[in-house]
Parts: sequence; C-alpha cells; structure tokens
Amino acid sequence: MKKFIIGLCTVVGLGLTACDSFLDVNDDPNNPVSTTPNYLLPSIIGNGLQVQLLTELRVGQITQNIAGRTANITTDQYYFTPSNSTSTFNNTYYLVGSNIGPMIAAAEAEGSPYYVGAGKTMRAIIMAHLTDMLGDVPYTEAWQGYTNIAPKYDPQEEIYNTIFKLLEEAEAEFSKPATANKRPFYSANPVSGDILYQGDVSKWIKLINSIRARQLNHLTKKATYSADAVLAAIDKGIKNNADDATLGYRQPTSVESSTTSIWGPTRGNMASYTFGRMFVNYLNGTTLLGDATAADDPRFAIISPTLSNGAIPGAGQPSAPTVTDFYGGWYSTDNSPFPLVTNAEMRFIEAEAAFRKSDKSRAFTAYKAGITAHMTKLGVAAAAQATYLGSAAVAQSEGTLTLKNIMEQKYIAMFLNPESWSDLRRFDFDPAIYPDYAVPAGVNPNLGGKMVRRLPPAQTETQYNPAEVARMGWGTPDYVTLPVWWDKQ
Amino acid sequence: MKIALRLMLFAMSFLIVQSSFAQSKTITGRVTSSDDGTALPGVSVVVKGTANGASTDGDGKYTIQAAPGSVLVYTFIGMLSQERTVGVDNTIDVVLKSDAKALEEVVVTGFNIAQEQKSINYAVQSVSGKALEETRQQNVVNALQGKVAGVNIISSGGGAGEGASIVIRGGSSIDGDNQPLFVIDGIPVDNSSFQESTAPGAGSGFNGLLGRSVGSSNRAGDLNPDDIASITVLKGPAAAALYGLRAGNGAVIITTKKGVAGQTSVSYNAMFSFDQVNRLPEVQSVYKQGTNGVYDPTTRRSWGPKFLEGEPVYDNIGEFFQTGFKMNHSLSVSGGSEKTNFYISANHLDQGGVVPETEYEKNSVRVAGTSKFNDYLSFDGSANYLQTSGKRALQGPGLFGGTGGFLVSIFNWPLNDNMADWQNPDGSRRRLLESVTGDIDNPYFTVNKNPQTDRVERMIGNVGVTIDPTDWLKINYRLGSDVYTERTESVRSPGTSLINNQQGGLAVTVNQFQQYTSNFVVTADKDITEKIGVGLVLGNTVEQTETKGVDYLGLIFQNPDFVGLNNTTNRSVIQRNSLRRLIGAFGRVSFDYDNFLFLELQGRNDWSSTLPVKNRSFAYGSASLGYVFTEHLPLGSSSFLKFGKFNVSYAQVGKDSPPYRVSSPLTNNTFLGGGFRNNFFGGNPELKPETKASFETGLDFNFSKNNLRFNLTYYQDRTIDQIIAPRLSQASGFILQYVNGGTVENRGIEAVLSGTAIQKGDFAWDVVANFSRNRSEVVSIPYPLTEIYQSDSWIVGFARGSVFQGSSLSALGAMQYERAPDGQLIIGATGYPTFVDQKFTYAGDRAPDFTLQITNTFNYNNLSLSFLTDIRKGGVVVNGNEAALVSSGLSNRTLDRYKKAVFPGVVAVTGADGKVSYVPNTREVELTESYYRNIMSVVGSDFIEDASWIRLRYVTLAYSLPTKFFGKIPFKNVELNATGRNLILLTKYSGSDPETAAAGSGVRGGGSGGFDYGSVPGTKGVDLGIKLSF
Repeated sequence: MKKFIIGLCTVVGLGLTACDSFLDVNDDPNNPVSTTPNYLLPSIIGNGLQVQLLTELRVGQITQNIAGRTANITTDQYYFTPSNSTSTFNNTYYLVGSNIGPMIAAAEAEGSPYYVGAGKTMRAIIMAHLTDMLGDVPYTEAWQGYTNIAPKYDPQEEIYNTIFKLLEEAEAEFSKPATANKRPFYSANPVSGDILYQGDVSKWIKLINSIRARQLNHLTKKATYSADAVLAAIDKGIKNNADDATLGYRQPTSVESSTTSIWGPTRGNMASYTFGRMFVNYLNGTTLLGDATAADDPRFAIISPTLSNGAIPGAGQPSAPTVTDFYGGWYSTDNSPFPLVTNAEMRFIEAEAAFRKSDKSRAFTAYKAGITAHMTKLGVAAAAQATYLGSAAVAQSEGTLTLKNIMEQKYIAMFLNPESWSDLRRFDFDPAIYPDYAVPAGVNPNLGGKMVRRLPPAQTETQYNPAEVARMGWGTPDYVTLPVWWDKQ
Repeated sequence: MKIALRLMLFAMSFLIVQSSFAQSKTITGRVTSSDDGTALPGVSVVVKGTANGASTDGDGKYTIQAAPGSVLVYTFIGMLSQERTVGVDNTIDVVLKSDAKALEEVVVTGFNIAQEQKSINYAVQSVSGKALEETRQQNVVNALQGKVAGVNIISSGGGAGEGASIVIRGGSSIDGDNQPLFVIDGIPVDNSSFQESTAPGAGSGFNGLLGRSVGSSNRAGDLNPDDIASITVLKGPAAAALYGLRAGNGAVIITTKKGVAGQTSVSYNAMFSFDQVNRLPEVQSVYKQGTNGVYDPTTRRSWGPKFLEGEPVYDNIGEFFQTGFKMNHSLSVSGGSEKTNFYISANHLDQGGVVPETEYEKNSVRVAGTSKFNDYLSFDGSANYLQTSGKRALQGPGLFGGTGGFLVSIFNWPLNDNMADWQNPDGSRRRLLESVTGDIDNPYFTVNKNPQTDRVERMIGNVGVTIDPTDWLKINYRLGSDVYTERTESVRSPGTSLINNQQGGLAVTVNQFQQYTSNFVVTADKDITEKIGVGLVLGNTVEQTETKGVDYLGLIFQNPDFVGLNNTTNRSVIQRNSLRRLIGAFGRVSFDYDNFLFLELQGRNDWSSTLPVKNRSFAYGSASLGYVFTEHLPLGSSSFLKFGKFNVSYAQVGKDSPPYRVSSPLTNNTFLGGGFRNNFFGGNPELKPETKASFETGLDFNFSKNNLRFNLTYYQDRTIDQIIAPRLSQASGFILQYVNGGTVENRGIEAVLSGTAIQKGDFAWDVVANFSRNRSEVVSIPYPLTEIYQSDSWIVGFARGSVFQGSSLSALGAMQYERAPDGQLIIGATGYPTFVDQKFTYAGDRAPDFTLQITNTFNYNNLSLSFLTDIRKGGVVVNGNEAALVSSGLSNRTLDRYKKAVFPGVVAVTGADGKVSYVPNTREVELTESYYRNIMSVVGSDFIEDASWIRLRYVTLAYSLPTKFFGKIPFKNVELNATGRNLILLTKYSGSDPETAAAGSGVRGGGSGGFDYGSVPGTKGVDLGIKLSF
C-alpha cells in the first residue's frame, strides 16, 4: 500500500492534494502526547513533594539541621549561588508543574473532580514552597511553552492569594461525591492515581487545610494575620499521624530509579555532611537542659544511632569519623519514609496561634500533643515519652509555656523540613527563641552580618530570564538577606 | 564518453595511411595514461609538419618512421597533447595526461543531469577518483580534505575508523545539522554519526552513552572509495536548489565507476599501513602521588613529594599507545559490450588502532550495470552491500558524563605506579585506590573489559530506466534505497567504577534505518534558433526516511564473566521510531544565447511531513546568469585568456524540521511514582521552515598556456527563522523549546587554481590550490537569550560550542578570568585571579580565518609524486587535556608549584561613593595545589590556543613498472606506491593535534571542532601499496 501511495504521488506529481494523508505521519510513534489523569498524578505527587527535600539539601544548612563535616563548606557560610536554587525552581515548573495543567484539563474533560482537586492541591503545594524559598516567582505567565519563553515574576502577595484560591477550589472538588467521578481516584493494580492517600479523599481535605494553616501562619508579621483563621484551618486539618503527607521512599525497581531516600546512603547526598550542632544540642541536653551530660532526648538515638556530636557550620565536625555518621537513623536509611506535612507540625502551629490569641490552655495542650505526635511517629516508647514530657526540657504548665518552648519543639519535629526556615525567619533568628543559632565560622562577609532570608534565583533563570531576575534585584552582594513579602512588617 | 571516443579513434587509426622517408629510422614505444597507467589504444602519433602518422595498438604500442630531429606529436581526445623530439633512442614511451578542462567540461549536478561546465553559473568543484585515491584515506569524507575550496572537514580523532565532519561554507543553522547532503548516482544516502538521542526517555540518561563517549564513524565512511569515479561538490543553494531542502547546506554528489564497453579489465589494489600517535602531551616526572606535597595513597593525583633518586618513574602515557596496522584489499572487474556493461568490486579493510584492543573492519561488494534495450530505452542498476564493524575505547568523559574515558584516566595516573599492571593474579582488576567509586577505571581495564562495539550491515541500491525518444528529450525514473541495520554494544564489566554499573552493565542499541527515494525527471534541450538554446527540467521526488530503534539496558551480571542481556537481572528497554516523508516538485528552465550568455531559473516546492499542516508546503528557487566574455568579445585565438566567464546567482532554499517537533510527547517518569510526565522538549505548532537566501558571484578563467584554470567566487548568505531548541526559562514548562528564531549570515571568498603549471616532455607539474575564507555571524538570537550552546559539544567543563549575538556560528563559549574595563585581570582579595563559576562568555571562533590547501603532482615518465600541503590560519582550539593534567598535577605547567608569585592584574576597590576603581595587585601568593586545581584548571583562559597549522597532509610516490618487466604475464600495469600521512605538522598548539573534534562528528550547529579532550590523538602513518591491472 505504501509503495502504491509513493507511486501515486509520483504520478500525480504536481497535483498532490491526494498526498496529504501520505504526509500525516508527524505524530510521535513512541510516546503519547496525552494520557489519562491517573497516569499523570503519581509523578506529580512523587516529584512534587520531593522538590522540598532537594531544597532542604541547602536550606538545611541555613536552619543548621545539617552542616558540612569539614571547615569552610561555602554553603555553610552562606555563600549561596544561583545553582543552589536551580533544582527547586526547575522541578517546580518543568518536572512537576508542567504536568498539572494537562492533568486537570483531562480530568475536567472526562469528569473526574478528585483528580482536579489533587492537581490544584499539588499546584498550591509546589507554588507555596517555591515562593517561600525564593520570594517573587512566575505564575500568571508560567507554563505557556513557546508562546512565552521568558515569563514575568509575580509578587509573592499575589502568589499567596493564588495559593489560597487553589486550596479553596481543590476543597470544593474533593467535596463532591465519589459518584461524580468517572475514574477511581486510586487503583492498586497497576498502581495509578492517588499514591499519597490511596484514594482517601478525607485525608486530602485535611492536607488542604493543613497547607492553608501553614501558609496563613506565615503571615505573623502582616496586619492581615489572624490567629482565628489559622485555627479555623487547623480544625479541618491533619489531626492524626496516619494522615501525614508522606513521601514513601523505597528500593528502585526496573522502571524506577532514585527511589531511595534523599537522606539515605545510596543517594550519597550527605557524604560530606552530618547533623548540625544546633540540632544535636537540642537533643543531647545542651540547649534544653543546659548540660550535654544530662539525659538525651529519647529521639536522639533514633535519629542518630551513633549519637553524633554534629558539625559546626563553617568549622566542620571535630574529630570527624572517616565516613559520615549521618546515615542509619530514622530519617536517613535508604527506605526511610519522609513526612512532609504532619500532625506534629499542625499541633505546633495550633499552639503558636492559640498562644498568640492568648488561649494558653489550647496552646499548652497542642504543644504537648505536638511532642507526643513526633515521638510516636519515631517510635519512642510510651514510658520514655512520659519521662521526657515530665522533664525540664518541656514546659510543665500553660502558665510557664513560652513561644520559645513551642518553637524549639517544632524545630526538632520539623527536622529536615525546609518549612523550619520560615519559622526562623518569622522570628528573625531571635536568640531569645533560638538561643543556639550560631553565626557560622567564616560567614560570608558580603551579607553584612545579616541572616539569609531568601535563596538566589535559579542558575538557568540568570541565563535565560535575565531581565526578570535583574528586576528582582539579583546582583547585589547581599541579595539573599532581602526578606520576602511575608517576612516584612 | 571519453572511453567510447578512444575506441572510435582506435578503429579509425587503421585507416590512416602510413608512409615513410628514406632517412628515417624506426621509432617504437608505448603510450599510457597518467590517470591509471593503463595503455592508451588509438593515440595518434604524427611527425610534426607532415602527413606521416601512426596510431597505437590495443597495448598502446606504436611504430613510426621518423628522422632524428623531427618532432613527434601525440594526440588523443581528452588528453593533453605532447611533443617529443626524435633523438638517438629508438624507443620513445609517452605518458599522456588528462586534459583537466576537457574532463570538467561535463559536470554531474542534480539528479544525474550532466551539465556543460561553461553553462553552470555557480560554484561547483569536482575531484577525480584518482585524486581521492592518492590520499589513501578509507573514509571518503577524509579523502576530500583539502581538495575543494570552501569545504571544511575535521577528523574527530585518530581512532580506528573514527569519523569526520564536513561543512560547506561555514554552515547556517544554529541548532540544526549543517552537513551537506550525500548523493550517490542520483540517490541520497545517509551520512549521520552517532548522536545522543533526544527521544523522550532515551539518550544518555537511559544507557549512559553520550556522543562523546566513543569515537564513532560517519556513515559515508562505509563506502568503498575505490568505487568512486568522481565527486562533485555543490557548494551553494543555487547549485543545490533542485535537490531541495536537504541540500541547503550544499551537496556531495558521488558518481561511481561504470564498466566500459569492449574492455574487460581487472584491477587489484593492496595497501599496508602503519599508524602512530602524532604527538602526545608531555608530563612532569618530578612529583609523585599525593596531596599538598605529602604522599597519599588515597588520591590518584600527583601533588605528592618529589621522586627520590632511583625510584621508578613509569612512562604510563607513552607505553599505552601502540603502532596500528591496517591492510586494505580491493578488487574490481569491469567490462561490457555495446549494449551492456558491468562493474563488480569487492573491498576488505582491516585496521588495528593505536589504542590497544581497538579495531575497525569494513567490507564492501558492489555490482553495477547498464543495459540498452533499444535505441531509446535503457535500464541501469546497482547494488552495494556494505559491512563495517568497530571495537572502540571509551573516550572523553566516558559514560554518564563520568570519568571513564581511557585518556582522562591516563592523565590521572601517578607515574610512581605502573599502570600497565592492571590485573591481579586472579584476573580481577588491580585497584589503585581502595574506594570503589573514587578509583576510576584503569585504561587497560577500560580497553580490555569495557569494549564498545558496533556493526553496520548496509545495502545501497538503485534501479533506473531512461527513455530517449528523441535527441532532445530524455525521461528518467529512478528508485533508490539506503537500508542499514546498526547494532552497538557497550559493555561495562563487573569491577568497573562506572556509576550504576559496578556489578556489570550492558547497553545494546539496534537501529534499523531505511531511506527510499523516488525520482522522476524529464529533461529537454533544444536549440530553438541558431543562437538560442533552451533547456527544461521537470521533476518530482518522493522521499521516505524511517528509523526503528530500540535501546536495551541490562544491569547486574549474574555470571561476572558472561556478556549477554539474559545474564543481567535488571533490564529495561526503550523504543525510538521515527518516520518522515517529503514530496518535492521542481523545475528548471535555462536559456543560452550564442554560447556566451546563460540564464537559468530553478524552482521547487516541498511538502514536508515534519512541519505543521498549515506550514508544510513551501516554495523556493534560484536565478542565475553567466556571461562568457571570451566568446562575446573579440579577444582573438592567440589570446592568453582562453576562456573567461562572469557568474551571478541568487537563491533561496527552505529547510524543514526533524520529525515530531510540533507536539510535546510525554515521557516515562522513572522517579518516584512512575507513570508519565512532560519531556525536556516543548513542541511548537507554529513551526515554519527555515529559509536561507544566498547571493553568489564568480569569475572563471582558463589560460591557454598549460590549461591552467582560475576561479574566484564571492558569496554571502542569510538564514532566518532557524528551527532551534534553545534552553529557556523552565517556568515555561520545558527545559528546551523548539522555536523559529535567530539569523545567521555567512560571507566568504573561494579561489581555486587548478591545472598544469609546467609540461615539458615527460615531465609535468600539476597543481590544485584551494583558498577559502568564510566569515559567519549570528546576527540575532531569540530574546532574551544571550547564549545558545550545544550540549553535545560540552566536553570540557569550562568550554562549549556556543553562539552569542554577533559571534560566529562556531564560536567558543568559555569560563574566563574576570577582567577590568582596560583588559587587565581582576585579582581577588585572596591574591588569585577571579572568575564567575558557570559564566560563559565569548572566547574566540573555532573556525579558521582562512585555509589554503595545495596539491602538487609531479609526473616524470612512470614516476609520480603528489603531496598536499594544508595551511590553516587562525581559529581556536581548547586544550582540555592540558587542563586535566594541571588538575591531576602531571602537567609541566604545575612545576611552578609552591613558588611565590604576584599575579599581574588589578584589584577592584569600591570607594565611599560606591564607584569601583582599580589598583595594581601587589599581593604575593603561593602557587598552591588548590590554585592549580580550583582556579587554573577550571577556567578556560589558560587553555584556549591558536589552532593554526601547516601540515603535509600526505605525500604519495607512485611508480609504474615498465611493461618489459612483465614478460609473458598479462599485466597491463603494475604500480608500486608509498604514502606518508601527516608526516609534517607545524603548529604552535601545545596539545596533540589541533585538528580534533573530540565530541564526534555528529554535533549539530557549530560542530565539535576545536575541542581536544580525552579522545584518540591524531595519527601519522605510512602506507605501502601495490596496484595491479590485467
């Protein structure tokens, strides 16, 4: 037949209209250009949540959760370059975000509102993370392909409005009945669809409200801040460890690679790093009990089986072992799951908001519930939990409870979560709240003694979107000390 | 044609009445051709000024009566006449040379259409099979080196069977393939090189292989050069307009050898070659393994203490390379009758590389024939089976952009350790370092245990029918195919340090390529009045190119010594198919007026499957005018100028896109979650064809004396709406996006001098001199981009093939030291020069300012000496090898280590008013290991060098044994020849050979010429050959 068409086109020669179908062969025979939403959502969830941990590889140095094992690791000393932001920015837009629009469109077309809701939730999550790290970022002109190869950056305040709107719309979609869905939200064989909660819509609604609570809580410096609004979201948010939004790391399969934990030995990210001294001091008694020889937090041996002495940012790890002592803990084996939005975090947000509106009783209850939630998550025995809760490391009454108490326990529970940096910024790295936060040895002098409050623009943006990056003010030596919108009064 | 005339004259010669004079004596002799040393039958031998004549017999022998002092004139059509004075000898043997002008009078341009040279109004240049043969290059692209003005050919490296890239007039696409179309007997054939796949999910991310991992071949290298009768290079779009969009970068038109009626001949060539690495980097042998002056067995670098007296220092680099031996056997049989002719050939080449364990082999069998059914109907066809295979070493950065290449590994081997001792007694790999991942593979392990093999089985064929109903009309239909299967295998044996492959890995790729072409062409030529002739060409072409590719990857060998996919536990596979179709309709009308004015108009419309439907049809064309002023103006027959012509032409050519760039296919998500996700490349439903417009003008002279021809051409072209895939803000949703954008201009001059400089008796001196100068300029690139680079060329960390606004197409982008406005180095607060990591700025043009390539051929009786002098001025080359040696501490440049120095330059001081001023640097610093490793070797500034060269590309000496040696043995000719290649290389470049393209010949855009890193260095060699014909 093909030969016949070639012959026909030869004979027809200059006529050629008959040959249009002969030329209609420009659809890629190897890969489809679209698919059903259930085969797009898994990577949106997997890669979308993982972005935060890729960011944490550098942000963890700002929060001093982690630090270089040797002296003069430049990122320990706050020498940040655009390459430190590249994966965060590019994964948000290219790897993850570019799939959300098509998935929502496909889900809307076929009538699967839960997929629409999951898409909008994930879009809110990735944009919230990105803007909290970088400040102003593209949104209204993003994902336009060839029609706009240099998208403009939108102000963070507008991004925040978008996030709240997305969350609202997502919640509305999830509020529809299951019968309104053409397609099951999750399928176990083959695995497709909602790999986060296996189709449990109520957990998505809790996640949506938890994200809303987290973002509203960022506004403590703003006149619009409302503790009641935060608590209203908390009321509908995650209340149970089983509802945590967790990245399920596991061994690779023949079709999936790099599926082990970012913090595990196989990925190799931590070979030159270990725990930050500040974090270790919270667990070994130094900060909370004033004495390193005092009883360890029962979580210490679970997080660091070798009881690492941690590294001092800029100075490294004294008497460093030949290989890093970071691996093997609850967070740091190849198969360690990573909870990104947790019951524990919600309890501390609740405690802070209640504290701010002087509801000390609710604050104290939530504070202790937060500690318990994290300890339970890590598998601390009930007796050890009780001992710790009764110790001097923990506030014993609502009357003695301080914001410092809340934030130090939140800092521990938020280990390796970049959200912790938002807390530090909201409290302006206040030594009264974070007494052990140390300025790194050999800190970048260009910063003029100021703290790091945003990441640089992505490397690729400095190359391919230079005008917008310049408009953001990139180029000044202390760029990373400029506060983002919510970080300003 | 020429042969037929010879035969005719041979027959006629019997009619010539022979007479003699009383005082005469009998002269005998033999006339042979300088082309191939064969006897020339039918040559007319006449005593000057008399009617006394004779002609040569079938063996080229003649007998004539002539008086001493009289002059014998030897004439033969297509050959330059010779005169010889009769002296005391009674034997006069004569070698007649081809008349270059006569040979070139007819040139095959588009679709097997032969055109008279004088009617062609644009630059074309032909190279004879003999001129290709004397280069002794087995790759036809290499054989063209220096033979054609305006053609830039760069060998990738010196590996066995390694490819070469060819670009005519500087190229025009920022991101497209700039190599010309290859056409054999009217049918396009593939000349691609391995290039990393951009198909979703495929490429190096899948199987680790980069274009720069292996020195692979270009597909035209499969051809048997002995089958080629001549090559015509169509340089500009005007010449190539009929061939359409695929010839926008010019075309290489190959005409193969055909059988000759009435003359069955057998010829056999054998060649034996020896190759050596031309130059190797020199290394220091003062310091051994260690760090900061202290011996350290956990590093491979040579920053340790000095060698003690008497300690062994191993010449790891020099010992590694070997002499490569190559042999080539070539046999052809041809012949025919008035109705039918045939040509059969076979070729076998077997080459061992200068790198141990590497080899290259190629085989070819070809059958071609023509049959005349009757006076107006004839059929012809050919079939060529080709087989090439190579076993190559991992080179450059190796796999996964890691450190697996053999040469880089040598550069990181301390001289206190004997690298050649690479195996433990149990056969396992001897490690230099304990750390599995820190210890990169020993080069001997790499070549023995991690071989990269490839094999191509290929069939090129075509069949044609020609109808000649009248003397002015010709109808031709031709169907051609180029079909091959390519299978590559990349082994990573257990024990290797290669990422993810430490328990063994095997990557297999199978590509099935099929290209079919159907051409229907009608040509008409008629003189409508005594003075006006009209020519018409109408044609239709349909092309289909289909690739079916599969990549397999198996990891973890269950039996560590067994190589096979079934032996692996973790297997994955990717399909990579593609199909493109093209329909073209074309026409040409030409007028000539009184043999001095030639006007030609060409037009073509293409319909391409690869563009959006609304943009799939596009038309273009050319107009040209030629004026032969020597025919028009009364210059007189005695004029020094025998022929003079002025040409001018304008052409426009469209160029489509590769397939599947309109939509944006998904790719498998191989990270957490699986499923599908977006791929790197954003499609574009608005894509339109690239357009190249070109203007050309030229002068052509033929001087009567010695038939010397001089041609001067000026051209300029402008390519707009380039189809490029620049990286862009990923907020757009993609990493790279197909767009139309960017404008590139070229302008240049070509001058060609060819012909016979001196002809005296048995002695002749022929010369072909080609001068080329091309300037390309990237006039614009799409906003807001400031640089577009070819990732495939990014082989050295600090340098890559880039274009910038206003730069040339083949510009170099490099990380460089920061400089003050006055050009002085800015020295940082620490006292060392400063640079910005990942900031790539313009660092020169990799293309030459000009090239001058001169082939001289001297013939004296049976002796012939030919040599090609290749002069290249300007262009930069990146000495990535030296940077690697500086980093490892083996470079001689590191011998200043630990000395104190004050870097010349300035320090930036910011005043109270915020203004920056510069004061001279006075800070003395130590040249520490850290300086060499973290500053000097990661910045391009110290490693970008001038690539100018003067080289003796080859010199060939050939001697045809006199027939009397053979006695009864029926040899027509026996030639012994010896060739030296690259025996002289004069260059200021401090690395190995500045002719290098370490990332391979498949790099798009500005190519990979000028990058020297981790590849097999260029070679020099000697070939000894014998050529027999019966």
